[in-house]
Amino acid sequence: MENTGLKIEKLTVSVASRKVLKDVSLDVSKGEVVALIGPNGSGKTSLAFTVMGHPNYKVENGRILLHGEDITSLKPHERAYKGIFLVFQSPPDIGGLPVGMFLQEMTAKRGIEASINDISNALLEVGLSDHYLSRNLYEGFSGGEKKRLEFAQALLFKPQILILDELDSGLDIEGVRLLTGKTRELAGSGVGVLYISHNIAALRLLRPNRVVVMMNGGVVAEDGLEILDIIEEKGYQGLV
Amino acid sequence: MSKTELLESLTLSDISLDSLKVRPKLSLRGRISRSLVEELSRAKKEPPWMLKLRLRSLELFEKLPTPNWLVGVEELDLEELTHYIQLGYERASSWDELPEDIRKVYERLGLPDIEKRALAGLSAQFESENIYLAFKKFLEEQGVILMDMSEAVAKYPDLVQKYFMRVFPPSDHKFAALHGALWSGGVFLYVPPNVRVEAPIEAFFFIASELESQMEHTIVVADEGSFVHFIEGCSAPLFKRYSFHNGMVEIYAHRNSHVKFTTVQNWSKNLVNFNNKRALVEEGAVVEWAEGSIGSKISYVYPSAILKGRNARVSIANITVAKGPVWKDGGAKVYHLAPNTQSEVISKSISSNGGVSVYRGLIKVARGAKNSTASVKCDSLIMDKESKAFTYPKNEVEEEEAYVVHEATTGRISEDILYYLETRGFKEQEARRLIVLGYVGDILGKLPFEYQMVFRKVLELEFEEIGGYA
Amino acid sequence: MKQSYLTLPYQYIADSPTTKSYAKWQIFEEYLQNPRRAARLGVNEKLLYVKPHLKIPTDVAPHEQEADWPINIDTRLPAFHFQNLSTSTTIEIRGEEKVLLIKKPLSDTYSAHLNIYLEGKASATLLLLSPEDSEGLSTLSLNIQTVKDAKAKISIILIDSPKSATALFKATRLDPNSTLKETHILIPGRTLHLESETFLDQENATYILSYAVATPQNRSASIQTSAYIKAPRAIADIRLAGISHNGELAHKGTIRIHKGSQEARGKLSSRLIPLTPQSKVYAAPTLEIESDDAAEAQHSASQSPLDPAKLFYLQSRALTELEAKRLLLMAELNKVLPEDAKREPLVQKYLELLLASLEINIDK
Repeated sequence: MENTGLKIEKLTVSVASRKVLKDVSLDVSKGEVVALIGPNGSGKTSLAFTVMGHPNYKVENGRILLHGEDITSLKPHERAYKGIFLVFQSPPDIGGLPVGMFLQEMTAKRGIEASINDISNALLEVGLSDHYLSRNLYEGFSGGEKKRLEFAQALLFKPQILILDELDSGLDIEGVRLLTGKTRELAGSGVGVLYISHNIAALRLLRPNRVVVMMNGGVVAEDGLEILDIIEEKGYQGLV
Repeated sequence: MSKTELLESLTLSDISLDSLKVRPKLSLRGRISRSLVEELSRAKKEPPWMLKLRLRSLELFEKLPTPNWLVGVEELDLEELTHYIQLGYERASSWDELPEDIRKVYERLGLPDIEKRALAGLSAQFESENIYLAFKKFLEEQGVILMDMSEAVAKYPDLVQKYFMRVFPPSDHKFAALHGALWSGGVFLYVPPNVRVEAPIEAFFFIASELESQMEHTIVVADEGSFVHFIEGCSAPLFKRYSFHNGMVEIYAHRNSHVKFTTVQNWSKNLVNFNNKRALVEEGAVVEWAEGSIGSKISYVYPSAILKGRNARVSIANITVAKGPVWKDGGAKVYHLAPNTQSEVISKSISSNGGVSVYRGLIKVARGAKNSTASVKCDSLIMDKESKAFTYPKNEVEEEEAYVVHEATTGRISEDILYYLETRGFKEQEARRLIVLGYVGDILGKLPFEYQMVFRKVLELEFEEIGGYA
Repeated sequence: MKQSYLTLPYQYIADSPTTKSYAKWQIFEEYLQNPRRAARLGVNEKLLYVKPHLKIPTDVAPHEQEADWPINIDTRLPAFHFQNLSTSTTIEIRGEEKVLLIKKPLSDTYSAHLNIYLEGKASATLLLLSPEDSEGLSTLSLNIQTVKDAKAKISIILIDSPKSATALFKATRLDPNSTLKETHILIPGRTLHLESETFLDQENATYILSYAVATPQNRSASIQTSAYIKAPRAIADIRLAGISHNGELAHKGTIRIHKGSQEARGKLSSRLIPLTPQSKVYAAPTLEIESDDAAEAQHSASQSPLDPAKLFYLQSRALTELEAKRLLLMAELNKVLPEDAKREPLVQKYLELLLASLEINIDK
């Protein structure tokens, strides 16, 4: 059990010579739901992008391990292939690329057999009808529709580690309820989940195993759900 | 028929799209003699290098091919052209000489008497105003050189020679050569390193007579780290006796300097206006051209910039009004020659009452200009059935890591917006005026405040049913 | 053969100091100086994914007709073409689908003219698939006319060999209430010069023209697309997606709307993607609008590489850098096609070929 899951060890990362992560360590074990919270600009999305291997994020120190394997120098697609899936906070519009076709390519690359039926079902699971299959990827999608489709991808992808960057922002209450429920289900089946969010109410629905707080590029606190109470009462300052 | 009447009666309704390909070749009548040029140089007491430049330009003028892309200008009388230069005055000498419609506009604009007279070119008195003198002294203390071009040639020959017609050589085209041979007047402005001249320098205010010459040559040199804002022209209509204007502006923005150059022009409708404008932008420097142009019969103005050093930036904003049977040909040219350079061009034109507005632009990104971005937005508003708008941009990209975007929309007054305004109590003509002002709004904001006010008023007059002038 | 075409210029005298023609006239000049009619013609069978109904030149003596050409011939290349014609054929397509194959000369020049009449739900596919070793010049003129109320489609697939050249002149006229959707998929040889002029001078005509072009190493294309609207409620929509991988690509597009075209709409868009430092891409979109009758007149051009944010996103979905590039390029090409063209398997097949021709094999 020691070597399973995602292990982030003392990561120091910079973007265009500006430090965005300072000595960050964080673990997400199989089947665990870890919530990552913090004020805007604290480095949460930077951490997500660094784990995903975004070329602009330069690791100056530290490493990232997946099931004991050092993946710090792997390319993004290699990390994806090994089972890391990132639900983007703002996925890009890719006109000219129909959703159905894209999902088929994606699952094929991952080595997963997914029929058109499987793909339609994934859409239905997140509350999207199958007419989205013929639409161009994210072109004209509302914020909520984007989040739902990102999650549908996660379902099809069968990840080992799932990073959700602000899944709940832009989503209506029904959507939040639905997707946090499904997140819990995925964790139940062994997926390690890193849930990045601002939304205290959504976090309460999610009931993460642990809550990690980041501020100014570093981890400042790590505990159970009680942290949420402190933050609701005194804001992030209450933790310092 | 006098030349003026001939020009005024020229209708452009016979210029249809089909006939665009067939154009009469421009014919030049008369000659410019070498002795005229020598005499001109002698009268101004110019150093030998300037005379040499003039004579070389004259040679080029005779050799270079006549552009056949000129519309509406079928014949250029060179002798008439030189007439004014010889006489040395180009302005009206009495209030009565001013056309009726221009006088009316001045009255409607509510300008004070002295300004009216200055605008009309009747007064050369402005130079003695006290405020002007104080400002001039302040500038001198900072090491800023600001004087009319002839004076600068005499007082600072080496400095001027370094820059005169370097970024815009006479060999560029026939009219640049003509300019090189016959130029007179204009302003030389030099700002020393790290000097920031926060108050805009309004050239017209200072050296009214010089700026009104037919072929004025203005040079703005901003040395490293300096800042200056130069404003020329004026929104109220200007009457000129001559009918062909061929001016030139050269801007040299040295490393990390910032130059803002604003031109607001409202030439009277008997004028053919050529204006050669080019800026050389070095590393980290910024040049902002803002042009507001109403009036003139035919005009050709393309502010250009050569982004020579890395991180150089230019922004070019144009408002052009083509009201009545006029041809307004304008645009912008930018050459990205170094990495991380940026350019932004916004051009808005309005054609009405048979006017034709033309946009000609070029964005050239040379190989090696990595990470350069260029964005061009050129919009045209056609107000009625008789008017036209032609847009001819070119984007030449030879560098893969460059981002060039171009968008153009030619539209008309939206019926929906008109209706909406009418339901809010605006008469149709008033509604149209509002829409026009809204359309040029964001560019108008780039003009200095006082100019905005007058420009706005002039625009309003242009588009009113009663009053204004055709 | 008359030599009078040599007295004409290749292009109209420049109409402004910055006017430039991007066409590689010197390549055509090589053929025009020593004109010889091709003895042997061929086709690249490997690229023929469908059986053609008609192969031009036809083996049987064709029904020769006068080359009907609505445009004034006052420049060198079209003049040469019309003086050098080997074939002139008329094809009428009424509510059916026809595939036409135009053979390529292995050396020297082959000039062919086609009159194409489209009625009802007609669909024509023109294939110019050059044998890999061809070094010849094809000049081709297409006079296309849609007959009243037609809802027609044309696909032009041109795949030239590295050493050959093509000049294509197209004049299209639309009858009232007719719709024509044209799709061009082009891989030029040494050079391709294409002039497409469409006349919408009848009411309610709709014209959609889509281009997918690739210019690999040592290949160039200059593509001129013009739409002239002279009637009310006519619509012209021209879109081009071009990818250059060490080649040169120039797109000159013109939308001209004359007075009296109430509620007409003209749109032009040009998306050019340079993939390498040696790639050259030029765009010159033009709008010439007379009067305030038009409901819409706009154009846009963009020249930039593939969006790195999109590439990263696709890679985060387990696609390699190369796969992500290819997928994104394919998306750009598909963006310009009308819906029904996107779904045609033949079109998709040739698009794959186009992408493959760019030889983007190595991750940068």
